[in-house]
Amino acid sequence: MKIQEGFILREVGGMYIAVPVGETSKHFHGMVNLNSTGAWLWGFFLQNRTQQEAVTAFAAAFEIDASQAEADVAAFVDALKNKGILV
Amino acid sequence: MIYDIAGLRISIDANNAAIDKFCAAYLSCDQNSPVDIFACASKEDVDAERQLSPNLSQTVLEFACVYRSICRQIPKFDRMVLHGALVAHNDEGYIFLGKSGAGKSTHANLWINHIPNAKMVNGDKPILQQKDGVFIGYGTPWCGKEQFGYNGSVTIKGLCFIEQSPINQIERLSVAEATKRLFPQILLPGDEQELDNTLRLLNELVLSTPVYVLKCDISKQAAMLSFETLTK
Repeated sequence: MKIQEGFILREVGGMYIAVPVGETSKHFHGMVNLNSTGAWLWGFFLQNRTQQEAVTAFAAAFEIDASQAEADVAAFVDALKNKGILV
Repeated sequence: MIYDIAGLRISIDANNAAIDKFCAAYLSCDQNSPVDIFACASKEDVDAERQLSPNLSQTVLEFACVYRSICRQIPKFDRMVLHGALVAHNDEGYIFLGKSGAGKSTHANLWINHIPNAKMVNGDKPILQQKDGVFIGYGTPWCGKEQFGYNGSVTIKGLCFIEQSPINQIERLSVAEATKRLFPQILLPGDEQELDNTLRLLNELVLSTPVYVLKCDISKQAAMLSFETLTK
C-alpha cells in the first residue's frame, strides 16, 4: 500500500499537516494532523510498502520493540485507510 | 477596472456594475500600468457557489467568486485571507475569529462601541500580508453583509477566538492549538505552489502573533477584558 497522490505534507506550527492539492482538493476536504512519528511513516509509505516492512523499519528507526512498533503502525495505517489516503 | 487592494494592483473583470460599485473606494487612479492579479468570476465557480448558497443573488455569488479568485492568487505575494473581524486601535490591528454564530462580529462591535479610537477595518474577510517579520491587515471591499470596513491597513498585534460563555475569561493558546483552530478560517488554494505559500504564511503567523481564546458574554466587561489582554 502507499499514500495516494495529491497530498502535500508540511510542518505548520510545530505539527505535521497533510492537505490535498490539485484535483484531490476538489473532493477531499480537510486536513490530516500528524506527529513526528506519523510524518516519518507518511514518508515511508510514499513508496509502495507492506505493513510488515513498515513495522520493521519503524522499530529500527525509533529503537522501540516490535510490539510497540506494530501498534503504532497499525494505528497510522487504520487512520489513513479510513480516510482513503493510504490505499 | 483596476483596483488597489491590499497593496496589490488587481484587475477585476466583472461585467456587473454592482461589483464595480462595491469596490468603488478601492478604484486605482492608475488604470494603465501592469497589474499583479487578474480576477474574474467564472461561470463554473459561480455555479458551484450557487450549489452551496442557492438563496443568494447572482451579484452576491459573482462578488464572492471574484474574491475567491483573488485570494487563490495572493499567497505568492506573501498574502492570505483570513475569516474574521479586523478591528483597529491606534493603527494596531486585532482579529476576532470563531465558528459561525460564535459572536465574533458582536464582540468586534463591543470594541467599536466601548473603546475610544476602535474602528472596524474589515468585518469579515481581511487580507493579511507578511512583511519584514510582521503581519499587516488590510480592509477590502469584501467585509461582510453589513459592508462594515474601510480602505486602510494596520499592523496585526493579536488574534482572538470568541466562544460564548456566561463567565468572561481569556487565555493564550499554544502554537499547536492556534494552528488547529486557524486552519478552518483560511483558504487553501488547490494550486500546489500557492498552497505551499499559504502553509508557510500560516506557520509564520502562528509563530509571530499571539493567539487567544476569549470565553465571554456580550457585556462591556468582556470587551475590556480582551482589550486589556490583547493590547498589553
